[in-house]
Amino acid sequence: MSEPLSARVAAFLAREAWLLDNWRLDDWLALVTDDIRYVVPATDCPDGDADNSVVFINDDITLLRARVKRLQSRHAHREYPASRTRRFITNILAEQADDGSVHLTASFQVYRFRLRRTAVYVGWYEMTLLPDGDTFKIRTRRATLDQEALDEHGAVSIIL
Amino acid sequence: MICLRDVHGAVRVFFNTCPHRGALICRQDAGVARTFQCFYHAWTFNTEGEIVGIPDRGGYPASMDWENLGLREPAGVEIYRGLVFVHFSKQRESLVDYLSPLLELMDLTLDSADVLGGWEVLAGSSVYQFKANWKLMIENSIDNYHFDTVHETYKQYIGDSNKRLGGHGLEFKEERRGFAAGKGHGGFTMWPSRTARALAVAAESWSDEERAQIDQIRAKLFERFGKERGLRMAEQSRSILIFPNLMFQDSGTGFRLRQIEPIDADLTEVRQWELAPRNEPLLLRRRRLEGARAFLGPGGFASPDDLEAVESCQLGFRATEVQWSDISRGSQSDAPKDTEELQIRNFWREWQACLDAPTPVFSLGASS
Repeated sequence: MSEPLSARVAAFLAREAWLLDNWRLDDWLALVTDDIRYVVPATDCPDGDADNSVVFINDDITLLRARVKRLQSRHAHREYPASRTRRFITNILAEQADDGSVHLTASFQVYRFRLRRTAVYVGWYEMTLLPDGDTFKIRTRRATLDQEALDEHGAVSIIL
Repeated sequence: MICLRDVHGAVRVFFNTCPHRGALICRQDAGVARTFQCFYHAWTFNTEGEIVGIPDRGGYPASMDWENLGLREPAGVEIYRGLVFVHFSKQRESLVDYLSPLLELMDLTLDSADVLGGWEVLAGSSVYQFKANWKLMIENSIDNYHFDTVHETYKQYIGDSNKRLGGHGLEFKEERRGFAAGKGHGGFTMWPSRTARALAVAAESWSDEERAQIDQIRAKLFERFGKERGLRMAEQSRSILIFPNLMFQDSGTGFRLRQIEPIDADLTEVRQWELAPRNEPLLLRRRRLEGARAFLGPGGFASPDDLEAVESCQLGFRATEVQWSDISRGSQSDAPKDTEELQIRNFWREWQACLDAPTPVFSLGASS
């Protein structure tokens, strides 16, 4: 009766990508749990432990809310006026545990356009989703970049 | 370049270029090796740079000067307190003389981790590029005038979360100074700190355990270095430019070294490392990293906006009819503030002196 897991996970990831690309950040924030952990490792230390090495982003819910608030401010100069982004999420592999939580990996390409320049963030997600009705909430998200340095990007000024 | 410890334990620096035909000798970012073998024709070198293997050596004339075909070294390598500096010019003063106007401030930071086993460089670095001239980032790095305007969202985030724990028994009268040391070095200092500091100032929001650990570190600092120097180690933020392009920053958000490397006239690379005391309690290590990420990390709430500012300047100066920056702020000041531009004028004057020098002060490559 219900759709297979892979279809539900793909639909969820497409939905949250759409929200981020359309700068519906408050709606996106509603898709994460209160114990969210969102990590972007340093490009030269993809396996880095966020407590004991440098990672670019290590947000709990407080920081993630602050990040969203910042991105909606006209004082977030790197993103004001906001960049245009387009996300391509593919190669999704998802497994559901007995408690209903879903562990997934997926590849991402996030294009960012601004001031006539293009930067592409290429990497992979490792995520834990918790079931929420017939959809999910994000409990952990680790967005590991494949790029060796932030050569064309300068910063990670958007949410990956 | 390759920087290594040779088999005798000495630090050595070589150009990462095979003296045979130029290929890279070492193609790993880090690791352990007894020899370096060029993958192109398998010329092999030991950790002292000497050539130890050449396939089919008989094919060369007997007159070959193999001793001079070792790995090439830069004009000089000097170490100050574990920081390795490389010179490309043979005409130079000693490293200690070059750094002398800064050593009192640098030593406050370098000594302070002695109570926790000394400094170590943490894994993971921030390497990023931006489309602007490197000197615009030097200006940005020693300019505190822009802090309130550019970093509004950072200030909002920090808000109460990072406010210092009431006083630590200090009479709180903040002193914020810009300074110009000789040789183009300069920066600004702030004291005592208004916000938490990674080594030894707690925030109101921190746990009792974290505060107790901070109190212990402060006590050790005072015991070892005396009250006056210990207090400066704990409380003073020091943002120092080592001329021309190395930032030595011991700020509220940790201690970091930040290289600002020109790639092209309008392209610059930043390479940034965080340092931490080797035996820092894990809870405080987390606080340190939290602070570093929030401000000066590429995913933080401040650094991306600094990039926006300097790239914006680079675009603005395309209008060649507007040729000058104005850096006259504070030029009549008796006691230069951090938000004035003395330190920026100081940088530019030294840079101009380098350009005016009869022989090039900075040159590419290892020419003697």
